[in-house]
Amino acid sequence: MNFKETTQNLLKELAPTIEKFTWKDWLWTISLSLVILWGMYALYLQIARGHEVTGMRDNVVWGLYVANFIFFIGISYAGAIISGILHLMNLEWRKPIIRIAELITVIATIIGPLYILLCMGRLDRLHYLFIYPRLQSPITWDVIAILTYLVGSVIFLYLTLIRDFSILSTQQLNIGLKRKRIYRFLSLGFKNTSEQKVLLKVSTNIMAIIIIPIAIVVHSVLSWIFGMTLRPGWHSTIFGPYFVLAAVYSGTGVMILAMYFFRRLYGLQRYITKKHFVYLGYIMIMLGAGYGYFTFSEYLTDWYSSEKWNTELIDKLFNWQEYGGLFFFANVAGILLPFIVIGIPKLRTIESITLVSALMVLAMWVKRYLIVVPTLETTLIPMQETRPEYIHYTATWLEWALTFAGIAAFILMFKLASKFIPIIPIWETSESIKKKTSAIDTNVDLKSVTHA
Amino acid sequence: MNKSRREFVKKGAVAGAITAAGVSAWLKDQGIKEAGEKVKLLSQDGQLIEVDKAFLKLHAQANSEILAKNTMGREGIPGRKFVMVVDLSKCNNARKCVTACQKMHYLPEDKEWLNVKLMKDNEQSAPYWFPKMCFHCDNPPCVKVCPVDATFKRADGLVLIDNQRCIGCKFCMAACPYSTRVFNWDEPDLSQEVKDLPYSPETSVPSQHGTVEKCDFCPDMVRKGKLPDCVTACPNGVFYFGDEIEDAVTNGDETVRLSELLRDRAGYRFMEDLGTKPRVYYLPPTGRMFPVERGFKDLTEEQKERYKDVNLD
Amino acid sequence: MLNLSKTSVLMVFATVMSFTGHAQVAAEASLTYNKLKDNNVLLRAVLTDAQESEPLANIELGFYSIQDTISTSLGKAISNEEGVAVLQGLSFESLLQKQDHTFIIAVEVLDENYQLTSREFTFSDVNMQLSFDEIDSVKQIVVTISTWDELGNLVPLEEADAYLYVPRMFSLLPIGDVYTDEEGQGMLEFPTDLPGDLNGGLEIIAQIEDHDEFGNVAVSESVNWGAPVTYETSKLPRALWSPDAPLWMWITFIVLMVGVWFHYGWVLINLRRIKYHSSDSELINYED
Ligand code: SF4
Repeated sequence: MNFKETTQNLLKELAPTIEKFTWKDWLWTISLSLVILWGMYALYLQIARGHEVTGMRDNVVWGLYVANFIFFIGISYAGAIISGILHLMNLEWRKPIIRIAELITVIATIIGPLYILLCMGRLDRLHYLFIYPRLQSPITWDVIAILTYLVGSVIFLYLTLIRDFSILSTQQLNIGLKRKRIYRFLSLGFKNTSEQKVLLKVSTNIMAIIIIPIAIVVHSVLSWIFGMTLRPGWHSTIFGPYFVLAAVYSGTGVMILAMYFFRRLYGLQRYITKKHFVYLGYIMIMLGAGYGYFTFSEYLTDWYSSEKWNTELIDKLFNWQEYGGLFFFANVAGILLPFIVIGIPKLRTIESITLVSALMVLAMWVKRYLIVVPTLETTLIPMQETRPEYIHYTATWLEWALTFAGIAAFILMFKLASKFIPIIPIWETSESIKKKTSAIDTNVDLKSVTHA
Repeated sequence: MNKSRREFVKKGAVAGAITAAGVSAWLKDQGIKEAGEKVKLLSQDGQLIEVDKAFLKLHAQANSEILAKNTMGREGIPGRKFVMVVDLSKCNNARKCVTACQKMHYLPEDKEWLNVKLMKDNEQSAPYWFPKMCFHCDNPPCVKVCPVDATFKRADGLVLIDNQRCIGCKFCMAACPYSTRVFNWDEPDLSQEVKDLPYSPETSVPSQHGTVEKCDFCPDMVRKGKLPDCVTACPNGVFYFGDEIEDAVTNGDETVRLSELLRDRAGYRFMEDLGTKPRVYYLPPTGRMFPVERGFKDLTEEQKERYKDVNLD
Repeated sequence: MLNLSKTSVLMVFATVMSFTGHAQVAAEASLTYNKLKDNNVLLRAVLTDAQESEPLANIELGFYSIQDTISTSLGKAISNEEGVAVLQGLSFESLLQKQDHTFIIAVEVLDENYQLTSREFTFSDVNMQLSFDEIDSVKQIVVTISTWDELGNLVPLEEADAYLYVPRMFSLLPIGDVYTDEEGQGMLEFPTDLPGDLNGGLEIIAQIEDHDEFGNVAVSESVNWGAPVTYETSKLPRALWSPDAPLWMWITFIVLMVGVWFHYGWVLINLRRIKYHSSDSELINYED
């Protein structure tokens, strides 16, 4: 089987996902849209009545929205790690899953910042961020870094798409002429000529290298929104790397979830194999180890030095009446569980890996909530307040509605994207199939295939 | 010395001189040439103000034109560095400062830019009343983080907010270690007249939905040579206000040298170790004028409830 | 009802009872005489209810200068909430004085519902002068106070108190007081470290306060005895808390941005070149 045939076979297999919009797709789209609509209604209420409808008040000025913001920016790291680092390490097995990773990155980077907008009292003045910018503010850093990151991720996604667009526009496919034209336009007339080959390779390498520092910067400046303040639990020097690590970690979890989802949905068992789950699982527990280490170090130092406000905060986190339950869950499901399940070979199945990933991702979300809210409830001057909503933050249904709307929007965008572009990169996957079958290849991944 | 520190403000002659001196100093600072012709005005409280004609014109325009121009609100009063001293030994939680401030800025009852905490530093030490306003820090954590320059530090030491610039991100609120700032979570309940007042960062009126606000040291009053409202409202003369460069602060009754006051009474700044460099000094609550229980006298049940966690023994 | 104030003849003090049927309220007035530092005079009357000593608000008062049988109207003022009526902007010269520099000021209620009982006040003028001595860097303020005898000769005023102030932005900062000797002189050492203006200039005010005979009398003089102050102009430094970020931040920011966007640009140009290098064939070259 030559390369061309491989791509054609692969295309044939993936074709139904992009040719037809089935009733199942409609079902997905409509139900997700309903959730989003619910969120829009909440948004309408929030704009019409003001932030009064949220659970935020003068002491806890940020709540679910900011936790969601960190969470989404965090999972956007999936792309950076898989396509950036694994690309540079030239690991063959990554190829079928790079598209999923890239899409997570782009979509999460679009949705995350929307939560910051929800947090703003004066959305009508959004443009002030660009006409009166102050370079000293971590928010300015964030705006610039995230925009840069988004542009970079889109470019990267596009680079890995060009060859597939070219295939899509030249192969027989049961799609309208219009769409074919769009594919042709997007393919930039890529015919894999020798010049084109080199140019594409160079460009992909550039982006793979540069996207890593950008990703690190993005999450560091995000952490510095908290780290630069004088608040207990935030004002920590390890917050930059801590956030970066937590982000990659949760990104890997979401990656596994997405793989599982598309594998089932589109019947991609031949391409996304147990090997992918196990390898990503390995990466995950490696990151989890680092993350666990940071977590331990963070709370140990705060507890040991027992400064007044840090102690107050830690007391809240370890108190079952307050945040003890959430804190326990965040650490057990977020650190220990993945270790046990992925670490013990017997427990290591696709399903179990997916399950712990799901729990881990949830735990990471809880962790973000625990970073934002308890600190804001720990004021340096005694609150001496009688209004309960000023003392304790409780998210209102509107905030939950918008949270779920964001998750729905994430899934929906993913779903719609997969109807337009093949969720498995055709060209690159064919390449690795060819390499494997040609048998002269003796590189690492072949060994790992047999190993798995 | 004691005798010369007695009350004098009620005397017309002195009062006349006070404001006249203040105004003409201000005029000189502004670089405005005095027309030479003096006009005498009677202020609301029956005190005489003597002003130069050149100033009169300026003043009439002040609210509408000059203050509305953001630059003046942003630059501050030249040659001044405002400072406040709070004498904790004299505070009995009379809350007159709180209500005066609310009245001046048209704030609802549940919004306090200035509030009185009941502090108890540790198990052994005695509780004391602690009025807390914006500290107008010289190294303000809130100003650092503002992404749009809506909250700013002026050369005269004041930290103000321009609520026509504020995007409501609330970062400054999270950054302020003293929980000083408040947010307008919904449309403020103001009469049409108040809503129509020309806004300036110096008056902080009217409040705006979706923006942050806080204690501003009443720069509009200060510009007129008058003390902020909390200072004059306090029946116990707890607050001293003045210009650090002139080395003088006054609580309306007595005027003292800032350096002497801080030296003699061991003035300190709250949470000095945070490095925020507040412009508010506290005089320790030694030799108290009132027992701490006095502070509960005229409180509503709701207000008493606030202090329930503080052990009074 | 007779309204006597409209005639400027002195008939004022005959008590006139109202014939309209309702009784008049008895009022009481006190008067403070203030001679401001520039020879302007401010009169401040406090009007109270004679029985309850409550302040009487919104009552018009007439002020007069009286000599022998001649009364000159000085002006009118309306009392405020505290019963205070202030007449200002008078020149000292407009007061009629006897040879010994004493003068009488009268206050009348111009409201038919009130009857004024206390009304006429006598004051004497006083001459106060400030001079400044600097010996061996010890700075001394000398206050000289004198008054006039019956014949109109200036004589030193002994055993008088005068208070000294330096005006600050909101109030007068007391710097001490003097008590005059037989030459009518009192001395006060001036503090060495009191801030003045940019050149060290400041104003010193001396006041006789609440004196039964002289009222409040103030004089002022400028002197260069303050410590010169320096203050920053309105330009704030580059700092985290000022509008202008520290330079290193800009440099780091620009280096980062240029670095990243340069590479983006490079890739975008590559994309253009990919398009440029496309072949005419409809088919993709699947060969390596
Ligand atoms: S809430 Fe307003 S003043 Fe505060 S940081 Fe944001 S924009 Fe600046």
